Amino acid sequence: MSPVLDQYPILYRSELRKGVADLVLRAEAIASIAKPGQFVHIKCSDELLLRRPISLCDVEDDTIRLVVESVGKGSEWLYRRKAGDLLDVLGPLGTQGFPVPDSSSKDSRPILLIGGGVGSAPLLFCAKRSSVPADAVLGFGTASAVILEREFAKTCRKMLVTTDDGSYGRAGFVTSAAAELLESGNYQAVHACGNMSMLQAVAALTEQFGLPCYLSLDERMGCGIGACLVCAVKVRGEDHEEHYTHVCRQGPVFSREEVVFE
Amino acid sequence: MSKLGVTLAGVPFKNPVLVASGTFGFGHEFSQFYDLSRLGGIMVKGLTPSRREGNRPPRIAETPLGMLNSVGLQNPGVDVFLEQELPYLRGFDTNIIANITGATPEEYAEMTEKLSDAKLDMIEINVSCPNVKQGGALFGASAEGISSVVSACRAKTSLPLIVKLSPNVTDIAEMARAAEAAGADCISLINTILGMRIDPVTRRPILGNNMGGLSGPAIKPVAVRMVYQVAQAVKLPIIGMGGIMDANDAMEFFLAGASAIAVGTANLVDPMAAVNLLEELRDILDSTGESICDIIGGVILNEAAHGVNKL
Ligand SMILES: Cc1cc2nc3c(=O)[nH]c(=O)nc-3n(C[C@H](O)[C@H](O)[C@H](O)COP(=O)(O)OP(=O)(O)OC[C@H]3O[C@@H](n4cnc5c(N)ncnc54)[C@H](O)[C@@H]3O)c2cc1C
Ligand SMILES: Cc1cc2nc3c(=O)[nH]c(=O)nc-3n(C[C@H](O)[C@H](O)[C@H](O)COP(=O)(O)O)c2cc1C
Ligand code: FES
Repeated sequence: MSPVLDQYPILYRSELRKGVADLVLRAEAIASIAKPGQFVHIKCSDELLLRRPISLCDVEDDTIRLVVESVGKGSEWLYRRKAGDLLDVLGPLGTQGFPVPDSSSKDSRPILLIGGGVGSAPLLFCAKRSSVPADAVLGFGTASAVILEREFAKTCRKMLVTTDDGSYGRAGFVTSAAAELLESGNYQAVHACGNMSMLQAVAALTEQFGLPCYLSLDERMGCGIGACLVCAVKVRGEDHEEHYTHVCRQGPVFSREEVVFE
Repeated sequence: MSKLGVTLAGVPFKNPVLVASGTFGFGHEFSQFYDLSRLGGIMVKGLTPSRREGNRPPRIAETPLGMLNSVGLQNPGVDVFLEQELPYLRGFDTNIIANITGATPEEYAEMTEKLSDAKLDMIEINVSCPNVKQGGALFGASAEGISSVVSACRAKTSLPLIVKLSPNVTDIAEMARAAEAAGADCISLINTILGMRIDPVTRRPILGNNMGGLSGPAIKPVAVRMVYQVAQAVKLPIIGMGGIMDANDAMEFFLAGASAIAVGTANLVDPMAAVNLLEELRDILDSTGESICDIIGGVILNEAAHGVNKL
């Protein structure tokens, strides 16, 4: 389905925690075709030239939901928007999202979602769209960084939160909590989003368990549609040769076997 | 000819709005947004003799009203272009311009020869890619370099040759004259300006390749100045580019002496940029009652442009 370029109004704006905004936009043209793992590309003020990619955290009826962490000029501008503001949005983008089981899939085994920080956001859309039960492990730096806990708890069968400093939930990295679930559960696949070192650990873990694993990658973007070739990431092709492909078009989700960690 | 029509080196263009190499791929992505036949021409992604993977990421960094890129000519190679991409592009009623880069004059010549038999309207010789060691910038930096590449290509084709000049030189007019003398039919400029950004915290350059090419509105005044200087120096038609975002930007280039313009970075920001600009340009011409040819080179210079103004 072709992406759409248009202006959409923010219907609701709230804060998940200081520095992380939760935006709900009325964007029927996007909502009607969006799939888990896809993202939108947003113009963040006239002062900044390039759009900024933000994952779809959820889609309901004619609305899309975005979770934005303020980390620099563009994301801060977006974070400060209010209900009623119009956003210039291009999307949905990405041709390869998370392949979550739908009603046509015969495999009824559950899936496991592993999120790191704001990377947890797009996994909520996976959990909601999955036709099989989803379990989730969400990792954060510290207690005050935790987001979306209640919503994952509502949607998922089992949910664990970890913090690096042990100030909330389990202490340690997501992978140790995830290993426990993988030991006992009979999962069909793992879907993950977070920083590259977390994804690398998840890839190693799922390889150990011999499970299919899908990772959403992050790279700085230009056009977002596959034309400028700036969002390069190294992958291993079917011929086992390494080459650069592009996150915005061929991704943003790649299977573990494809990704080359450097 | 219609109000918007122009002829460059004998090639008719239905309108003077082209899209710049490297910002438009081979057109597929943009055809999701509009009919590519609306464009005056398409300058395709830079081609090399064989496939290139490009530079390590990150390949992009934003700068004040601009961006740096260090893609490094990632492309499938000239043969794959001819077999797989050109037939698709030929399905549109617009001029198709191949953009080529080689490591030696011989490589440029071989590519020109291959492309010569293909259904192309023009060939653009890129002697100005700042992102690859042998990206032609070496040639583009001196009159002799430009001469050697252009004459090697000239010997291999009767297709019109565009020479794309680098702004990373002291005297742009000298480079344009060298291209003209070596048999070029048209000049395009500017390519990106070599730049660099450093992260103050990590103390490392943001681009994986350390340096990259600056494009976007930030470079527009430099581009307009260079188009003006080249227009004064040679008789060849000029395709102007560098930071063009809307029709008023384009007007600056036409007035400075460009017969056509190319939209580059703006395509990355807004996939509709080129056709939106075209419609704005049509409106401007409708309101002044002129055709585009009346505007080209029409800048009205102020007197006493040099030296101290007498009070
Ligand atoms: C496919 C995709 C989906 C994304 N989804 C979300 C999301 O749902 N919510 C969210 O808050 N963020 C998301 N991001 C990250 C977001 O795009 C960046 O945080 C944002 O572009 C930074 O822009 P800025 O102007 O605020 O920062 P800049 O001023 O450009 O940089 C500030 C800091 O952000 C880092 N940064 C810059 N670009 C990126 C990038 N593309 N990815 C990660 N870090 C970057 C820089 O290293 C720097 O430290 C996503 C990125 C991608 C590629
Ligand atoms: C991402 C990107 C890739 C580019 N690739 C090429 C290329 O392959 N060949 C070339 O001749 N110019 C290339 N250019 C330069 C543009 O064609 C153009 O000359 C330059 O960007 C100035 O115009 P702009 O400011 O409108 O982008 C590239 C520019 C960008 C931004
Ligand atoms: S951002 Fe342009 S190709 Fe991915």
